[in-house]
Amino acid sequence: MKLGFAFRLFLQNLRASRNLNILSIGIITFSFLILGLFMLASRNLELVVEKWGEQIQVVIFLKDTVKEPELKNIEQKLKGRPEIKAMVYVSKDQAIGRLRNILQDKAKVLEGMDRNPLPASIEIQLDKKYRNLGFIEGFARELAGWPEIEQVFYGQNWLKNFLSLYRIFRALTYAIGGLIFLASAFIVYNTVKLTVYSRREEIGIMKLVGATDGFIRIPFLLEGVTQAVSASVLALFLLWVLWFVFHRTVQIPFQLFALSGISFLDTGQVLSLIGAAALLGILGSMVSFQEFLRV
Amino acid sequence: MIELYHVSKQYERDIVALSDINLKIKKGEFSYITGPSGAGKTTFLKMLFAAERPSSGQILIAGRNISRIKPRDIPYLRRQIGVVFQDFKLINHWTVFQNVAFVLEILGTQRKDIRRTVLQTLKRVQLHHRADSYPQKCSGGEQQRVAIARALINQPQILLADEPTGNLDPEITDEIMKLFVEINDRGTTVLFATHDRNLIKVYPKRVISLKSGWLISDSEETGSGEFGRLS
Repeated sequence: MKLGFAFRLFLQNLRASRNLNILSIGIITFSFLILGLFMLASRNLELVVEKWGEQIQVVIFLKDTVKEPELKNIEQKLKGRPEIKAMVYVSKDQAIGRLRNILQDKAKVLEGMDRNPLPASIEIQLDKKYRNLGFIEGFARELAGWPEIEQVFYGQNWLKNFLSLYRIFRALTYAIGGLIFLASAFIVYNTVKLTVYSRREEIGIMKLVGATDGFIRIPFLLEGVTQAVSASVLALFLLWVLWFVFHRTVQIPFQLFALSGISFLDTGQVLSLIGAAALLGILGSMVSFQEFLRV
Repeated sequence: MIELYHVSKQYERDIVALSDINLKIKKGEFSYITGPSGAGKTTFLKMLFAAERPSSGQILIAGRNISRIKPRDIPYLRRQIGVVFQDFKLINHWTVFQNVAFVLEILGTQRKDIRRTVLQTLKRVQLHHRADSYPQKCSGGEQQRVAIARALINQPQILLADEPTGNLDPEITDEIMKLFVEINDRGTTVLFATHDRNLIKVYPKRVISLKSGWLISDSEETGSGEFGRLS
């Protein structure tokens, strides 16, 4: 009964201060749109970086003495390991073929050789979780100990640079994202406060006739949450429109980024943005409400 | 019904609103609280519905000490006390009906009972035809009657009024005054703050006079207050 009344009151409040609500939703939408744009940009950058990360490879060069059964044995041993996402066997013939392709018209230099000097190899792509220097070094050391293996190569210097760049990128993303989130939270809080402020007299009157704080609070909580959540949905929609238009009209040489196109936020991100909005709406109205309760 | 023992209220170090008030108001009594502006009338009433706390002394309402009332108990105290203000304190985007019904909504009364009781109470203040109007479309006298209906709907034992006729012209004042007297006749204890001496002359009751926070006279004790005790 009481909850039903609180809900009716909330609907009535929405109607009574339509303009204020539109203004509030507009402001919150704008701040969420900025947050969303940042999330979109960092997600796509992250995808690019991840794509680059896929190039982290451990290449093992096999001794020329390795024959078919030993090769099978090695492949079998590697297949069982969860750290390995994919692996490709490159035979001696394939290796020289690749070299010919690279040399193109200068490939003649290879013709004078009486035997193929290139070793057979296995190129191993690691699972995302294991793309860190510590693991890769240990893994390479272990493989180097196998009798069939001549040498293990994993682009040591490139890897070190890449991984430290990746760490900086992640830290920057969290720092900037955190700042933008704080700014949004501050804006949401102040906007919700505006609504409560516009009703401070009403709150006072309700208290004078004996309404408990909890009872008065419910319609305001609902209003704060409605404002924040509808603003976040609106911001996501606008973001999607922007993304869609950009995606369709702007032709970026995506190969440059090793991507097939710009991705939209994933479901988890969309849901957490809406969830964060709901939380901010509740917190905003609770905190600002407390300030106007002293009657 | 209402008892005050050595009640003082100090806002800041040197702003004293009330000093050492001792007073007993019996059940069913009608008392004026009078005095010039700044005498402490409003503070006096505010302490009775716990909008202010006394700096020292004890206040008992219906035998219950409210001087140290816990904040979460205040709403329940207020549900037993009707309060009417000079500026009506109505919620302007609610209809007359909603303003009055709110008191019953917070009590969790059934909707059909709310409707019946609100219409009855509005009838009592002769406003049943205004139920669906908004306060700002009503005259000052009508708005004050809405506020009185709101204060009455819960059948409180005590009705406090802080200059309820202060914004109204003499004819309307008379109308409102009659309503208060009628409410009192039905057994409600009424405390009526006013500085309108004329009103006290026309409707003589117990007169408690305050000046600069001190209780300077009480017609109950002297037998004749500032304006005598005629009834």
